[in-house]
Amino acid sequence: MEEVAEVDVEDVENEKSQSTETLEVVEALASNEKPKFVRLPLTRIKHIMKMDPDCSLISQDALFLVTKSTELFLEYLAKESAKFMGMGKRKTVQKRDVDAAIDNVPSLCFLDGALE
Amino acid sequence: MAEKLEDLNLPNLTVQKIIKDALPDSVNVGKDARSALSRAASIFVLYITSQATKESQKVNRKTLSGPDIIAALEELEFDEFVEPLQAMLKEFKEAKQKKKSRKSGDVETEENDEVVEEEETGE
Repeated sequence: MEEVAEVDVEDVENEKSQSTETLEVVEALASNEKPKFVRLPLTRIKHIMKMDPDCSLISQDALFLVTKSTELFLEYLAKESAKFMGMGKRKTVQKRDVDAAIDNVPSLCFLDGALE
Repeated sequence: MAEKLEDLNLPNLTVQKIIKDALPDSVNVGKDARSALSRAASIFVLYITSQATKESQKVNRKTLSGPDIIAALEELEFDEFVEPLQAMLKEFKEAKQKKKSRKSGDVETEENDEVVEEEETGE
């Protein structure tokens, strides 16, 4: 059987994120479209941010950074969850793996109980 | 106009692509896990926003700025995001500058970018 998914995930981590970004820019420029720097919709992110009553004005830079960091967060959480799947020798990430990541990774404690 | 968090989910297909790209091809993601990851991302947005808002309030500023977001990420133990984000922000700004200088010769207006520049007043 192949080695634990954990090793694979960490190996491709940097490679994938960098090459995906570069590839997107190159492809977009080649087809004369504007390069896609964000994949998640800026407007939707802005609406979520506005749910905070203390949040009024949002600069363009701030919106870009929040959107982009959410993408990075998704990747991060997906990889952390996948580590727990590897230990069970499964090939499909399930919700319990996400829960396990939340329980085990300190920076994810804000999600504790939030996904029920 | 109280919008629930569920009404502001991120688009499923986009979330799915981001997750799939982050993981090896041989790995699948179950529907319940995808849904959980998507919800977690929405909660993350609120979490960062809340922290960043505190930063801007400290200096009595009403507009959330880029540095507020960076400070929030560091505060919440996501420092590893900071460097890549700053690089991406730089590229984003440079690309916009290029577009703007080209624009003077073009008739084409790029509405999509402009919308983001608008600073809405909070309600």
